[in-house]
Order: sequence, then C-alpha cells, then structure tokens
Amino acid sequence: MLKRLEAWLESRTGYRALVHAALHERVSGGARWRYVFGSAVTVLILVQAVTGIALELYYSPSTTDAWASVNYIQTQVWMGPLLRGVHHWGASAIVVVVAMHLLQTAWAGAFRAPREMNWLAGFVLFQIILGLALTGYLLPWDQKGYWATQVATSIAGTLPVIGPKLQAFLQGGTSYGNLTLTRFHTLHVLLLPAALFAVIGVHVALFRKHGVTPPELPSEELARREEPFFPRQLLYDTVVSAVGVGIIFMLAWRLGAPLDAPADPSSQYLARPEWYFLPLFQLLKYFEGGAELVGTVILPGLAMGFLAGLPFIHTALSSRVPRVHRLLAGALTLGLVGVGGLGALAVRSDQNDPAVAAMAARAHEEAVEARRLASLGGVPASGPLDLYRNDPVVWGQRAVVMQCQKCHMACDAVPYKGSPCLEGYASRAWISRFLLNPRAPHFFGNTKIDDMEPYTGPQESLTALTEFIYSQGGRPDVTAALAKKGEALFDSEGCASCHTLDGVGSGLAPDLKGWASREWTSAFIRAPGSTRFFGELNEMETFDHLRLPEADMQAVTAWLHAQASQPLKFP
Amino acid sequence: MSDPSAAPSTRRGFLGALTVLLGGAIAALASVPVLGSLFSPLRAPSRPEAEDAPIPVGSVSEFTVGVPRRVELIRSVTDAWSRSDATTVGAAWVTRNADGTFIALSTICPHLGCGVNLDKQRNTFACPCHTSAFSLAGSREAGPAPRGMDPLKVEVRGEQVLIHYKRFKQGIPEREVV
Repeated sequence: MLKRLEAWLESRTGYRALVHAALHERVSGGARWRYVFGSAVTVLILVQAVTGIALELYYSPSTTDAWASVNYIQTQVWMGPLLRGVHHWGASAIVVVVAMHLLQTAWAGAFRAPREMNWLAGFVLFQIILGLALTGYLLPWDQKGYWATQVATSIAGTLPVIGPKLQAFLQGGTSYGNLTLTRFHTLHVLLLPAALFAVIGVHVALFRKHGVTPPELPSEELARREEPFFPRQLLYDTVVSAVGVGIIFMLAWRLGAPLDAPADPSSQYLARPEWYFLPLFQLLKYFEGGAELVGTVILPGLAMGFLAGLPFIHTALSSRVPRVHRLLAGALTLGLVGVGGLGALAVRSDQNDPAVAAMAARAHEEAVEARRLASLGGVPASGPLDLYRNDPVVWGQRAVVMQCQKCHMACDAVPYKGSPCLEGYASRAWISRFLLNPRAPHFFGNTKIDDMEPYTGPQESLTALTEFIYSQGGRPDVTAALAKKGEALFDSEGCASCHTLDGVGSGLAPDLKGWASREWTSAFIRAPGSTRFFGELNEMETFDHLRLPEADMQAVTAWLHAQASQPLKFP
Repeated sequence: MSDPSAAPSTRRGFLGALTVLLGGAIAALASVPVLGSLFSPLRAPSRPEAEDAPIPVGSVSEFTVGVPRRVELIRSVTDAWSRSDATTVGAAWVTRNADGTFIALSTICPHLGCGVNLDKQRNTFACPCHTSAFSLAGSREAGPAPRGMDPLKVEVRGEQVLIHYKRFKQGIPEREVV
C-alpha cells in the first residue's frame, strides 16, 4: 500500500530525484566538522522565522501598543517569555555562528575563483542579518530599543549632503513615532526576511555549483576521500545545529529576553546597543567633533569594503604574492579580533563607571515598576507612559526627577551641590537634622539663606520640636502629647521670632502652619516668593500651571508627602 | 572509510536514524514556545476579567415608574494588553416598578442580535429586524425570537442603580451566558 502510494507520488512529482540531489551531493575531500556553520546558521534562521511568526501573532506596531503587547507576551501568553527568549538569544547566536562561518570560509580561501560571486552573496547576507538585528530591537518600543536605535538613525543623519533626508526617510519623519515603528516593523518582518531567504537561495545554489572549498590536498587524495553529503556531513550539521538550538533554549529558559520600561522621549537614558553593535559604539568615542564621520561611516565602511572586496583584492595580489589568500584570511581574522577588542573595551569602560551602574540600576527599577503597574489592570489605550499616572507617587517621582532635580539633586550625590534635597523630606530624621544644622549642604548650605541659627537646645526639646513640626504635615502617626510639648517650645526657643503659625506669614521666614502638608507644598511650589513662604529671601523658581499642570502638581505633592516615611539618603 | 557510500547499510541506517532523531529534537524544541503561544488563547485566562462588577446607569429618581428607559452600559474594558476607560459595552432597557424594584432587559434580541426598540404606541418592545415583539416585562409575544428578552440583574445601592451586564447566546430557547 505504502509502496504503491510512493510510486504514485514519484510518478507525479519526481521527488526521489530531488531527495537524491539534496542528500547525495558529493563532498570533495570528505565530510568535515568545519563545514557545519552554514547549515547551522540556516537552521537558526528557520528557528527565528517560526518564533518570529508566533511573536507576530501578538505584536502590535504602534507607539501606544508596542510595549503593551510585548509586555502581554511576557506576562500573559503561555510560553511567551520562552518564545521571546528564543528569538532574542537566537539573534545573538546567529551573529556568532555567522562570524565562525566567515572565518572558516576565509581560511579555506573561499573568496578565490571560482567562488567570488558566492562570497559576495554571503557578504550581502551578512548585511541583511545585521539589518534584521538592528531593526528588531526597536520593536518593543522600550527604553533600550528606543535610545539605542536613535543612535543608529542619528548616524545616518550625519552623512554629508543626504544625511538629514536619509534620516527622515528611515524614521518616517523628523522624529520617532508611529511611522518609525511601522517602517522598522515592515523591514524586520517582510522586506529583510524576504531578501534573506532569496539571497540564501542564491548562496546555496552557488554553493551547490562549486561545492565546498576543499582542503589543500592533491586532487587524487580529494577524490579518494570524496563522499556524499548523506549520511556523515548531514549528521555533523545536524549535531551542531542541535547543540546550537539547545544552548539558545537554555539561555532563553534561564535568562529570558529583557524588556525595559516603555520608551519615554522625555527621559534620560543611557543608550547602549546590543553587544554585537558595541564595537561600533566604542568607535564613536574616538572621533569627536568634525571627525565624527570617521568613526560612524568611514572606518566601518572601509572594513565592510575590505570584506566585500576580498575576492578582487586576492585576484589583484595573487600573481605577485604566493599564497596571499592566507595573508588575507589572517588580516580578516585580525580585523575581527580588533572588532571584538573594541567591544570588550566598551564593556570594560562601562563596568568601571559607577554612573553607568547607577543608571542601569535605575533603568531596571523603572522596568520592574512599569511591569507592576501594567499588571494592575492593563496598559491604558493612550499608551504605556500613562501607566505611571496610575500611581501618584510613581508619577510624582518622575515629575520630581524631570522638574525638580535640576536644583534639588538626588540626596546621594557626592559632593552635594544642590538646593535642599528632598528624599526623606519632612520625616522626623530630616526635621531634626535640619534643626541641628540648617546650613548643611543637604539643606540650605548651597543657597543664600543663612539666617537660621542651628538649634543647640537639649535633645529632649529637639525631639519635641521635631514632633510638633512633623505634626503640621497631617501625619497619622503623630504622638500628640510630644507635639503639644513642642508647640510650647516653639515660642520659648525663639522659632516664633521669624516663623509664624497663622497661615499668612511675615515674609521673614516660611509660615509653618500645615508645613509639608499637601496643601502647603502645593501652595509653596506655586508661589515660593510670597510672604507666606520665603518672601524676599526666595531663590526658588516659580512653577505656575503651565510649568507644572495641576495633575502633575498633585503627583509631586503626593510624592513629597510620602517622603516623610522614607529614610534619609545622605550620611 | 575509503568509500563511505559502500559502507554497510546498517551503519548508514544508524547514522540516518541519528540525524532524524536530532533533527526531530530541533523541531520539537522550536515547537514548544511556538505552539504554546499559538494555543495560549485556549487556556483559561490567568487574570479573569471583572465581568460581574456592576455598571452604574444613573440614580433612582431618573427613572419614571412604568416607563422603560434605554441606558448605555459604560465601563473600562481590557482588550488583551490595552485598557480603554469608558467604553460602551452594551445597552439595556430599564423600567422602574411601582414597588421600587427595577427590571433591566438587554437590548440584544435573543433571535439574531439586533437592537430591540421600544414601540411607544403599542407599549411593547419590538425588534426592527425580524418583527419579534416582547411585553414590557420582556416575555415573547410575537415573531421568530426563540425566547423572551434577556433580563439583567439590577442592584440598587442607595440612590444608585447598577446593572450586572451579561451577554447570552442567541437563537436558542435556553438562556446561556456567553
């Protein structure tokens, strides 16, 4: 029965010839482990294709939806993290195996006649793969993808003459937005994959025409060792592919794929590309100012030119220099090592920079925060940045970082050179530290205000005064008796000679009625120079409704109010 | 190994089987997350939607006794990853009874899902598509509808009227929640 079906199929399709042609290609000089890389890359590309299709079932390319849909894959889709992980690590693995394939074919001298065209096809494939890698990591529209890709499109923008137009063409406009995503998405899932598979077809066809580049043995030896592709070479290829896919799976299973906080054009983010673009990134550092183009375009262009031109360089030199292909392969290897070294330098300089570590830690915290907020009830249809508005303290933190930290620096900055620092503001510790030394750098030390004398009374009175001032903020955990005691001290200890407690103020020093309550901080931020607050002494900028809309003000005051239960961040 | 093509067929068979096995392993590994995510929507949602959270439709005094009023049912809807606040999910005819209780009927016709209108002249509900007619209490009076209009649970909290919205399968005599 099966035999008859096979015979029928054979008579209608001729499939046996096809299978035979595929499996019984002659491998000159016999099967070798070093020939496996091309097949391995192909298998990894197929894995990218199927995982890419599965991701595409959930991904939505718009600025409001992209991050949300990727986060949905990460948190709601069954096996979603594994799926993203395989696609993410698969991309890295392809770059690694492509590099090995390049080195192997270079040392075999595969760029020599008659394989020049296949070398060029391989070069084109290499460019397509880099293009896929570059367009891929913008798609989640997270901080990393957003800022790292900005670097790439900005480089395009620095090109002479055509730069600005080219950048606008790639981005779909003068700035990043929906059109950038739809363009990169189309490139990543349609154009580049179509080109990739088409050129793979050419690459394999040319390979079948010329065969492997055999080792340098006498031709009768090569003929004696010749064997068909099946079974040994196919087995070798499959073993290495399986190991590769296995490693990708292990990495995907254990580490998954990263997802940063949603892209925020107003934020400051340390843009670092994926590891395989780090060498280019490092190169940018060496050429500043007018010489920028050397690092962004000229040197990478020369390197790529050398790679593409190898067959012709070889032809030009081979008549004069014997065995020049070894020399060229050596030069290529040296170049690759140099590229790797540049990447290592980039990694090392980041590792030695505490600011980088701090920003990375903050980025991680933001990512966790964004995902937590998303888990509370989905991402608003207006976009993931509105997630932060779900939680006034989180939103306030962002507003404070953006608006206030220009002057009120983060408390742990060393040395501290800002206006009074706000982390832990109005907590008992903050108040008593302030009373003991109002001119300390974390308080008024960096301002012109030096009228307030340090408090030198007994510890007991300090505690009572602190409790009284603390109680003004409308705190639930006030010890009433202690605060009462502090209120009595307010006059006797001389506070009242400058500070009032009537909600009107004198213009000499801030009125302390309701100090650090939400109403007080809101009124203060709107008009710090009014007589209720610092009056003539004021140095702070005024934040009116245009600079700080009411919704943001609510968030800032919520954040400030919450600081009273936070620890101080300075010694 | 001078001429491997002449190697014993058992050896070739073994190597072939090994290749198929390893190739199968690659395919199986790749299939795990691909099929998992593909069939993910068939699994029970890990975050059940708050279907039963009642939707406020107005205060008691806004409803005249015995006169059905059409209300839109508006709530926040989460569609996969995206949450839209204030989305109209449906509508209901709400009638206040003399005893202070309420009847709410889904406007979706149990026949084929058209929007049921109020026929003020005849004081009945009428479906414009296939002429099904229903009494003000929702029972079927004429036409192809297989059952009466679908009642929705009404809750009165103080002055506020709230509706528990549900959708039902159309075209069958039984009332089955979708």
